[in-house]
Amino acid sequence: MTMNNEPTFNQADQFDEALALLAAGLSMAEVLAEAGEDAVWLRPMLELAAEVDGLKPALAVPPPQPSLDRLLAHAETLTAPAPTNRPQPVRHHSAWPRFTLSRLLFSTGLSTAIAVTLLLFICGLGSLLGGGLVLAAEGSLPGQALYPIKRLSETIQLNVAPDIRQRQRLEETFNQRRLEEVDRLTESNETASVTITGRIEALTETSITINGVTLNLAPKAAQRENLVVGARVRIEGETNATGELDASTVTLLEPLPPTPTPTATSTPLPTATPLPPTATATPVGQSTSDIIKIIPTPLPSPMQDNDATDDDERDERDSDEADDNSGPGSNNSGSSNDNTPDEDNSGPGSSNSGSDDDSVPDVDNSGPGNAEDDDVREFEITVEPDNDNSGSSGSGSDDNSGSGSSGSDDDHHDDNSGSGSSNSGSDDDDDNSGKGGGDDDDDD
Amino acid sequence: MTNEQVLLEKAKQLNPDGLREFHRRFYAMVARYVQFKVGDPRTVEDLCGEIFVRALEALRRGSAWRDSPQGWIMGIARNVVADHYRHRERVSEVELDEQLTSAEQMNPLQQAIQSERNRELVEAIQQLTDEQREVIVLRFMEGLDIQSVAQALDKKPGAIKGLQFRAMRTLAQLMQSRSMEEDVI
Repeated sequence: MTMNNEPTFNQADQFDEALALLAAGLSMAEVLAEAGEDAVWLRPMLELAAEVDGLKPALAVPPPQPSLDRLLAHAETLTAPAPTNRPQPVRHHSAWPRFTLSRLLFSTGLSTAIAVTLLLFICGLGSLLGGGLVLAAEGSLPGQALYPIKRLSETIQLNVAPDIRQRQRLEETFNQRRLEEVDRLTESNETASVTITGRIEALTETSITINGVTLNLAPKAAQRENLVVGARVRIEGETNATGELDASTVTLLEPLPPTPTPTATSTPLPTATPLPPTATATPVGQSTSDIIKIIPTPLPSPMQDNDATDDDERDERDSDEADDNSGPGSNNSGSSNDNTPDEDNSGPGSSNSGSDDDSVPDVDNSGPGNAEDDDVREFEITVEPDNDNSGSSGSGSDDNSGSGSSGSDDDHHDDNSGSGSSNSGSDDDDDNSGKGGGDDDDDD
Repeated sequence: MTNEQVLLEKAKQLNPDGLREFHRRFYAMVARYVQFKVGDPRTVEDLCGEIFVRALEALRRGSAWRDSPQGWIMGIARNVVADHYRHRERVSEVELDEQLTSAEQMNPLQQAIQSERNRELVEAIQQLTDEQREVIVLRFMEGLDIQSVAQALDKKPGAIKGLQFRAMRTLAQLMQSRSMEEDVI
């Protein structure tokens, strides 16, 4: 072949011109005749171009249906919001929650590595500070400055637990701590807001017992008849100034245990604490989402934590607690996110359920405030006495761990929209020594 | 408005028939292009879906085509394929080519082609550089004009002319050396 190594602009232009003539309907012979001696190098290229064109029917492509389905499904998602805009990610009304530690920890992409890093960092920081920050935080109570660190440490441990068993053990341990915190708070007559999830262990005219904690419950509470021993509920309540717990809201999550629990510890017999006749006589409501609001009426009954079997269970948990610090590993399922006060405290945009948000001062900022009696504290307890941890921790406040709101946004660089302003067409022709008139017309 | 502009406008309005027609009009071209760049048929499917979703997004933003709908959507296809390789932390282009040509069993192109000559041609196309291969596929197989290819590859039309010349010249050389080998045998 008589080709140069580098194409001259003439050659490139000539080739394109020949293609245009072919596309315009001239025969190969006519085009080559027109080309004169350039036909020598033009011919193989033009023939090959025709051959490539003929290749198209030989190329089978995958069936179009999956792609079409995806397009239609995507269009479906676009029809709901305003037609001119893509759906915007949900924004918190405060900018702060976007940057909280817990959101970082639980955003789906970052979990384990950051959790480990943070744990190491906090431990390192703690030991640098002398006493060990995490250790110092161990004994803290809701409302105290170190309490968030305690909870963060627990959350990290949960996130790096090597397997589900270890994780369940840790969850039990931490839930046990919550109960102890309730005890200590009630002993110290301080006020804190509490959320407890679990099965009702006992029910009396004036109280409800769950996870070994007894709360005052108004006898004339609305829809109280739907509550029975064994039903799984979420109770929001407060410790009051007299060292008792008042239930303010009871939410029925599950009317009765799905199967009879093998251990007698989780569902004490009604004889231990007699039930009000209404509770036993009324059939259990079928709905799992009945919400029962109960007006808080503090009653002067003392704590009733005298169930022997329940105490046994607590002892078991205590023994578990001994080894709870053994070895964080790596598990980031993140299902316990709603246990972290960090999220709750991080700003007004967090996902706190319940009506007492506005009465909650920012715990992080409370500094020396643990002496203040009316410092309302808040945390949550989730205990499943029958070890049924499957999904229970998600029943409370809806944790929004990153939640993928930004979805597929990451790749929207310029989609070649308009391909820049440079190719307006006339800019290159001056290189091309005049020949090329209608060179671009060979479109089908 | 041209037919294609009407079509794209319908798709932008999320008219289901318009979307189907939009997809039908461009799917084969997009899929062939992707197939030339990616071996695995499942990946081709995935990337095609992604390309049309992104095209719709671009339509909705109002930042669609300038000169040619084909050039526009092929530009999106090119970006999606490039992203695909970026995400796979792709190695160099040369290695990619080697992989494609050596692993014939995973390449649907070779399987699909009955004629020996066509198979050789596809293999030769896959030995070209990335840009050359794109120009060959878009310009000579899909029949896009210079402007559309320029838009798709984000280059000037003059550059496309040079590219198509070099690509076809290299291809001719590759095919010639192949036939010479066969003659020797």
